Amino acid sequence: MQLTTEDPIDLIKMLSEAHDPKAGAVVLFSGEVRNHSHKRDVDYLFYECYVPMAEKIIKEIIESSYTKFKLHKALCCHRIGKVGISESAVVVITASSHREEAYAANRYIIDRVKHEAPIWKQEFFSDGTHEWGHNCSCFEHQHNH
Amino acid sequence: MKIKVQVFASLKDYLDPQFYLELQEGATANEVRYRLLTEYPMAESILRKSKLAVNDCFVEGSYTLKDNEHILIIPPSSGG
Repeated sequence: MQLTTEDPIDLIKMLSEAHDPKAGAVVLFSGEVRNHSHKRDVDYLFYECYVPMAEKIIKEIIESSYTKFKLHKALCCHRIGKVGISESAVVVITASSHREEAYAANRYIIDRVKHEAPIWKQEFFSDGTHEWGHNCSCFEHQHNH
Repeated sequence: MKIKVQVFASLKDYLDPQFYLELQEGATANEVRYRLLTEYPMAESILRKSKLAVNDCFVEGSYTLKDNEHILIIPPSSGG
């Protein structure tokens, strides 16, 4: 399973890998690029990533999701580089016997990946300016990890 | 001793992506942060929020660095 990629994420292919005969629920979350941010028009995003640590952390988060929830499958892939409007920047798929676990595990994985993986978003606006995305600082906020 | 420093994302607006620092034997990871705070005050808010990693593992500020180690200054994530 690819954990990071510079290519567009193939949602159908990922979903096909998530099917499991024991699973009655498969939840797919796709974090997609909006055309606006803080009342400004966005052209595209650029994601910088320190791949060695990001992949290790995403793998650890997925492994911990199996111990925390009754999951049959858990997949996560994050884009790197330029990502256009409406493209998937990150995808998480969870499969479990019942939907409660699949929803909860999915939320758990995306929340932790967003806050812990060394990946940084840069927003490129239609007016030609760009700025780093608003960071989540785990020193300042408490998340339900 | 010589330590390789690597920074990411918004820190690159203020610092070179990679550079070397000369530190006294027994210096800690936090001493790298303090040195950068002194030399790059414009980056203070990000430097204070950043995590530190050595050998691709997060370390506490009290971690004692060894000669030729590679320290990463990792700003708060903004993935997703």
